[in-house]
Amino acid sequence: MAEDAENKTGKAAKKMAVVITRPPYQSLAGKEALDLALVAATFEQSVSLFFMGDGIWQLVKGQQPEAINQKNNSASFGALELYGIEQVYTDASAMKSNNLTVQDFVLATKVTALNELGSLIASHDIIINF
Amino acid sequence: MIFSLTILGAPNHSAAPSTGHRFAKALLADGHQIYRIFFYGEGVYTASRIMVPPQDEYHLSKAWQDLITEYQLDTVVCIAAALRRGIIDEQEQQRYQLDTNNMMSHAELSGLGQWVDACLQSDRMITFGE
Repeated sequence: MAEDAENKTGKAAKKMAVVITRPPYQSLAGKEALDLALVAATFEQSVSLFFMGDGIWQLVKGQQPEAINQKNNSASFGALELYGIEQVYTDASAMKSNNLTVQDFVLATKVTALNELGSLIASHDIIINF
Repeated sequence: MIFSLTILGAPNHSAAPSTGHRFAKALLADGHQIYRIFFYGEGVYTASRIMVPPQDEYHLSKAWQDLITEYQLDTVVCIAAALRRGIIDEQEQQRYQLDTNNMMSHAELSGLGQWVDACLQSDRMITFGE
């Protein structure tokens, strides 16, 4: 197994946390976070995604951004499992204050309290915040 | 220790490129090694060599260029993030038949695989968020 975890550089895979705190369509943050997470997963890194604060809106079903000339990223977020990214966390307090539940999302997430998210994120080797 | 830096914020908009620059100088002064500087997202604007700030203001992108040149720092500007924002080197100018290029020298346009590689080769990847 240890060998499987090594990629072409000969270095052991790292645990990477990609944190998304901003909503879609006001900036490229969500799209560029997604691109980075997918590339890291392609390079066989262990990638976890954390949607916090307004970042949870990235996952909401039924987006129709074509009307404002933007591409819909939520479909790609829904396909994360296909890329081997299974650790997807959402911020329980942000969901509550925005009146959103897992049923509103394009994929099943691990709904997690804010204080637990902190220690979970800290358990990763690499943390990048969008 | 071996460090790499990710810069996600743009000059004039975010403290990321200036904090990252001071951090890089402090690392080098302390005898640490920098494996790679990676500009991503809005951070790619730092790599423009044609910014002209008022004369009594700090020229941040020139300061980055000087640091990169002096220490021959491996510097990668994400190609997808750069092209969509109009940060163009000579090769991309030719490819897209544009009338100009504007990227600083001693940096290279390349993909997110270089970010993953930097994470694997470094003891620490430090992100300067937007």
